[in-house]
Amino acid sequence: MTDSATQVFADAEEAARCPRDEAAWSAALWARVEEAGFPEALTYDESDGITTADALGIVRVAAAHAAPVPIGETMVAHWLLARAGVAAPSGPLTVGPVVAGEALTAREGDGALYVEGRLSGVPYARFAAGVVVLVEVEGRTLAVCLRAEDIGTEPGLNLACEARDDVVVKTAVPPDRFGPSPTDAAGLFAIGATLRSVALAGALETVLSRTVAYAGERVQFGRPIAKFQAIQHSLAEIASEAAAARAAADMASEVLTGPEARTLAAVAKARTGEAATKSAGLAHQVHGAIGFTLEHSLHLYTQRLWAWRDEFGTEADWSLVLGEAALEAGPAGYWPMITDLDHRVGL
Amino acid sequence: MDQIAFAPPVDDAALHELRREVRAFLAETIGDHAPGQRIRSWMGNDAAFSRACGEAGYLGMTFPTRYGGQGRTSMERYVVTEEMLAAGAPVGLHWIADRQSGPLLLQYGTEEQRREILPRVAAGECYFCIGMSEPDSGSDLAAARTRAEPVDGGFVINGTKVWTTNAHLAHYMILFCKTEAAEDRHGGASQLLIDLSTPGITISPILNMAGKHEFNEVSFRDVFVPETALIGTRGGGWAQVMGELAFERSGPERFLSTFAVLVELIRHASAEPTREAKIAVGRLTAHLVTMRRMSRSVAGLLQAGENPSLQATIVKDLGAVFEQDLPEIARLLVPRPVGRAGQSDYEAVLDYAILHAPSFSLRGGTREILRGIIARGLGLR
Repeated sequence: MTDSATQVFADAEEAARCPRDEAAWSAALWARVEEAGFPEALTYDESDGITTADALGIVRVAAAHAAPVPIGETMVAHWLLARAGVAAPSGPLTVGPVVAGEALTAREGDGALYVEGRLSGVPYARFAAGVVVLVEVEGRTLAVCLRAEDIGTEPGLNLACEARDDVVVKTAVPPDRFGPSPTDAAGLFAIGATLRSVALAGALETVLSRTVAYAGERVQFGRPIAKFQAIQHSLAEIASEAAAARAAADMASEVLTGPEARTLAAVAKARTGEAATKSAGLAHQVHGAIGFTLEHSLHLYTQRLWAWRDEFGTEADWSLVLGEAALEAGPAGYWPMITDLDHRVGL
Repeated sequence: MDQIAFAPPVDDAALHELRREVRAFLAETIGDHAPGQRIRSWMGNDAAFSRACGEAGYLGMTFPTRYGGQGRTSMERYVVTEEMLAAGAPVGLHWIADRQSGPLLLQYGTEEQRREILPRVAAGECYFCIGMSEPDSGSDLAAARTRAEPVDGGFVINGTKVWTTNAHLAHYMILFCKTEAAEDRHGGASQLLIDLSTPGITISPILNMAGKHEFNEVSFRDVFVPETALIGTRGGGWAQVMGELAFERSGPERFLSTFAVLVELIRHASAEPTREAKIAVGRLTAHLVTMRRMSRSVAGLLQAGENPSLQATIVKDLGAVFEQDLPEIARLLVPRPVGRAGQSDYEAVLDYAILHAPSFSLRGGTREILRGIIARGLGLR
């Protein structure tokens, strides 16, 4: 699966380049993504031989090429709708709420669901054929498919010029467009954290390989800078951080629901975010001034690293979740809490 | 960059059952140990505990049963060692024998060496030390000058080894030395099995800055050993010793050395938990869970017969940073009174950890050597 993703996203980077005040987007790339069947990747079950980790490998590869399309969000939206028994519209999809604490209000009446409110920073909302949102109605969490024509969007951008739009909703949703959600708002937020963790790991791989390549080409003082021990040690540090990020993201991508999913998402987001900060700084240092230019491609990845750290909870937010669990477990319960994470429950 | 990918670790219900057994064993044997004892962990020595581990089948676990072992998998061994370290069990006496000397003999030793020694290692009655570093060659192991001159029926050894942990308590040393001249600086080296009671060997303590006698200087003056002391191939010592280091660098001891500090930090921070303490403990937890994933993955790769030396090096480098950060984070979150060094459990673990932390990025390969190995893995050298 990652092989076909590597083919599909091979030339994605060029489409990620855009003026600072515009959102990067590629309809042509999206057509190839749909053709490859990636949007449904999370809806297969293990009997198809595709695990959630395999499916999220697509997100990692997309991020490794700075692909300006909401592949992770679309995969999660398809999964929510499939579990809710709702047909998914074709085209790119996204999910909400993506900011902790935000919610739409909803009430049922006359067979329809009346949904109202505002969500901020929804990824790629302006380009999406639909936004799949979770709402609480009488103690149940419903997954609702809002079509593009049912919502208003106000454009916004993250640090890497990715569309992060506000969504304004006041609409009646017919009964065939909502159903019981497989997860609640906190669960979706954790899945979002896992998506970003996987993407961070992917972008870190590219930051590592580009920085290693650059150090091998750039000659100073009569030799490639990769021959200097100080540079080698910086590259070794990036490699270690990228490896840790990959391990943390892989672990979280193995389980999307159930009690361990939130803890593993917390581990992954906290660890990948820290790896991103350290590696982006070191990569720019090794690249020197050229890496600081708009012309060079490094910023496509480092800006994504910086932006994604803040989405679906920062390192501090998720460390707080882990720390609360650790202190609650107490000195005797802490180690068992860690080893119990080895028990996995599939999607 | 698949070279930095870590395969999912092996995991099954039998491992969880084994984990429960080990916890019950530890509750019974060291349940009453104070935090100040637990922080010593794999530097703590207790002959009765080592024997108890042997009786319980927790040593030489991967050795075949014909050598007194348990014929179990390296993941099973991993679970046992990890539980021992997390509990701060005094595993120091048997640690090196069980971790690397036994496996080295299993791989390269003669049948006689295996039959003679492995059952005693598995019983927790035979301890080893490692003769690698010398006064003039620490990180530059290939520059080792200790020489074993081939003579009729054996070798005559002259030279000096340093930083030899537990030489004063061990029965044997695996000696890395030069047995012949060679053009290549990695050539001409061999490994010898040295009975430390052999005449001509002098073991002198080197106290560390905490005042503890953990390592030693071991000098050899015209020490004769029979040719049956040779391990593996004469002149092939470099490749053997590099393989041995993979065992030495991949385990959970490379990030759990100060785990007792984390447990005590949680104990103290739980009383009046602040947001700052929760975030700090959570961050450490994210690191710990990730490193366990990587380290268990390496154990799985070793079990599959692969050579994950790059991954093992990454784990050790990240692990040393984690072990060293831990006491520094703890002391700022839960301050201690001035002038009462070592007077409470918290201070005992913190003091021990701070005084030993510098060694974590030295032993088993310095940080600089490890980063050089990672750089080589990236194709830079």
